[in-house]
This record gives sequence, C-alpha cells and structure tokens, in this order.
Amino acid sequence: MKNEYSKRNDIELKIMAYMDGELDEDESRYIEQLIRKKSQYRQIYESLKHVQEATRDMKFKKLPEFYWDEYWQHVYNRIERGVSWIIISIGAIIVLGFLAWNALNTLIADQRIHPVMKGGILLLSFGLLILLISVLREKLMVRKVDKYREVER
Amino acid sequence: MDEDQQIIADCQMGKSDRYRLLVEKYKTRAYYAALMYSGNQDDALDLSQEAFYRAFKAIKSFELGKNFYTWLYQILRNLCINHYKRIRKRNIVFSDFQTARHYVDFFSDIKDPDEIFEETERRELIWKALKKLKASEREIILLKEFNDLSYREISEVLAIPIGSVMSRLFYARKRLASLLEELQ
Repeated sequence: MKNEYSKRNDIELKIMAYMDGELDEDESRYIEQLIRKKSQYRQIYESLKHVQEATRDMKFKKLPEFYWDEYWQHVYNRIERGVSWIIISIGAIIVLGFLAWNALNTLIADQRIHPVMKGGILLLSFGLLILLISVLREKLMVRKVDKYREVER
Repeated sequence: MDEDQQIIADCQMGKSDRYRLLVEKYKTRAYYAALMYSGNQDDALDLSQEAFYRAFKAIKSFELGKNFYTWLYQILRNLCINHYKRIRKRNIVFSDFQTARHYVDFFSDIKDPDEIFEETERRELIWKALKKLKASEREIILLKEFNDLSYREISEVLAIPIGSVMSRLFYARKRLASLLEELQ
C-alpha cells in the first residue's frame, strides 16, 4: 500500500517535472504516454498546467527605460565609493597610528608625568592594541572559513 | 568555459570593467526578484544594485563552475530579508519586537500588486491566492514561475536537495490550484 502511494507520488512529481521541461527524452516519452492513457494523471497535469498559466499571466510592471540605461552607472558608483572608503580607511589608520605613536613617545619623554601614570597609560594603550589585534584576527579567521561571507545576515 | 565563467575569471584577474557584462545580463532578473520581495520599485532598484556591488566585492571568492545568478540571488535574498527586518523593526511597537525579529513574510506587508504587476484580468485573483499561501510555498512558486529558475538552481538558492524542491513545489502548486478554485 505504502509502495503504491510512493510510486504514485513519484509519478506526480515527474508529471510536474515534465511540464517544467526537467526530464530527459526517455522519461518525457514515458510520462507523455501516462498522461495520454490514464485520466487521473491527465487531471493532475491539467491542474498543474492551469496554475502555471495563471501565474504566467501575471506580467511584471515595466520600469521606465531610463532606469535601465542608468543601472550600470549606479552599480559602478557603488563600486567606486567602496574603493574610496578602503583608501580613506587605510589613510585614517596610518594617520591615527602615527599620532598615537608620537603621543606615546612624548608621554614617555615627559619628566613631569609620574612614572605610575606613565605605566598606566602604557598598559591602557597596550591593552587596546591587543583588543584591536584580537578583533581583527577573529574577523579574518571567520572570513577564511565562512563560505557565505559575502552574504549579509 | 561558458561566457559567464569567462567574464568572472577575467574579473578575478583584475579586468573589472568586464563585470558590466554580467550586470547588463542579469539586471532585469535581479530587479524583478527584488521587486517581489520589497514590493516597491525604488527599494527593488536599490537592493538589486547593492547585490551586484556586493557580488563584485566578493568576486574573488566565487568558485568557477558554479552558477553566477544563483550566487547573486542568495546575496540579494539576504539583503532583502535584512531590509525587510529593518523596516519591520522601525514600524513595530516594542512588545512585538521579539516575534518580529524572526518573522520574515514579505508578502503580508505588501498591500496591493500595483507596483509589481501590470493590471490584467486575473491579477487580483492570483494575488489573493498567492497571499494565502504559506511563506515557504509562496517563495518556491516565485522562484520557479517569476524568476524562471530550474530545479537545480532553486536547490542551490534554498540549500535543499532537488527532491525536496520538487515535492515542495508540487504541493505549493496543488495548494495554489485549490485556492484559485476556491476564490473563483
């Protein structure tokens, strides 16, 4: 009984695949014969065909032509902006890194600041640096193993 | 190597101007796919262009031999989901927040099909029937009928086996058939 059900189910799926042009020649011929000979399968085919025709009757609203003409330009602008953001970020990292390095050097050389204070500021800077490296490393590790990294979640 | 694969290989080698050919080839499909998710033309344009941009950014990681459009579609689909969630978050009261975060049923918020479909005789009827389907049933119908993806492509987009694509699509169509009958 169960076998018969699953066989029927299998044929129904193949009827749909036939309608969608997903079967090879031999299978298509077999399904065509079934549809011709057996009314229950013909009924399924006709019902599926009716749904397909109904949905294909829906025509997407056309977009004015100038949107299509400008489409690539918009994508290109995004690409260009993306590149400029990368350059800005690298520049900002260099400038900020240089300023931080200078500030630390000045701090160490300054005799008026108490050594304990200097030690505290150095530890604080060192801790922030480790935190930054850790976050960057984590991001890069995830990037290496995550095959869907380009997909926004 | 087919044309798409050759273009992608060129882009991976640094000839990024070739990417335009892919955009020109798939822009219509990507736009209409986004339109089905967003329900308005401005968002659909923005989301589809953003998907092309993100695909370009990640083009080096694209595995040659795979289908470019299904890869782009996955990016686009996720962008649309996030866009939808952002809109929902903006429009809901705090008590609904938790449920809304996991609720992704684009169609329920699209009030009418005017921005998506041309007016035809059966449009309202089919629209009503589509809205009555479960989100997963509707999505597979949209992928097949409106995006014209093959079973293999749908299986890649939804990350399910082809057998599951077939049975899900079959039962979705069956339900749509009975809904159309009911509403007529």
